[in-house]
Amino acid sequence: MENQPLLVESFKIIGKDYENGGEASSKIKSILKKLGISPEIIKKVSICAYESEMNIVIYAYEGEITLYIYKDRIKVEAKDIGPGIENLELAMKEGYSTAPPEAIELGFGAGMGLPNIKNNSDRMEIDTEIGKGTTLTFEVDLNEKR
Amino acid sequence: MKVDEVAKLIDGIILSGKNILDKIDVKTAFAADLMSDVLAYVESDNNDVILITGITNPQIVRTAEMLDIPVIIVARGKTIPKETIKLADEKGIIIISTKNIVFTTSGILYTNGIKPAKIKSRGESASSC
Repeated sequence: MENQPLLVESFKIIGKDYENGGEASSKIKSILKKLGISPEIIKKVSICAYESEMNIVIYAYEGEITLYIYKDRIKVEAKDIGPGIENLELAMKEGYSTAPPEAIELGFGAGMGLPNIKNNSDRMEIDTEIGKGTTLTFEVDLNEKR
Repeated sequence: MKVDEVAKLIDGIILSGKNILDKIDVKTAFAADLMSDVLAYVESDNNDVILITGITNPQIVRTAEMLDIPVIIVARGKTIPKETIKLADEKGIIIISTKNIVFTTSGILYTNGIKPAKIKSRGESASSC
């Protein structure tokens, strides 16, 4: 499966930049649209990318989102420098959140983000280290099995 | 239902996306202040969903953009920041502002034939992870 990506594109994300949070995902969405990827797959990737991006904005100091397009799948890696996730098992639970009040005012921090990425992707992996940061990777297959 | 008619029914003012009003025909709606819930629950495959909310920051536009939600109604007469309206114009999303509360807005639209948005069955695809 680890063939060469056909396209790689990276976007810088700044922590607490609530105004521009979502712009990288918006760009990813338009790249996929231009490539003629099916709307259903675009939506899945967009939702996961946006949740990942908002996670960096809300919790981390800075980060980078990289889009990899392969022949058979789309991979997005959201890597941040930040506090890391203390309890990954809890973080994966719907409704569990450690979001600050300003994120909640924006309509985020309901503890739906990671479960939502899991539900909308075919594979998700989280690598986190306390005090260093988190790398979340998800993949959406291009050949729908349904 | 055309957006003009939606705005009229709820005494709303259209603040963005005025150039695309004719292209949009809405049929269903979802009301929430939690954008995470909008992302997790709403299916908007036909580009015909209205998002009714009391949140005013640009993230309502981002959320709508990701899901192909064409129309946002901001209820409770809240002041909508310039950045939100500017972003909505950029992304081609219509914002309607109304003094009505979410309950009243929803009730009026429901009575006039707008249906609940289709909801994703949660956990359905979780088994594949």
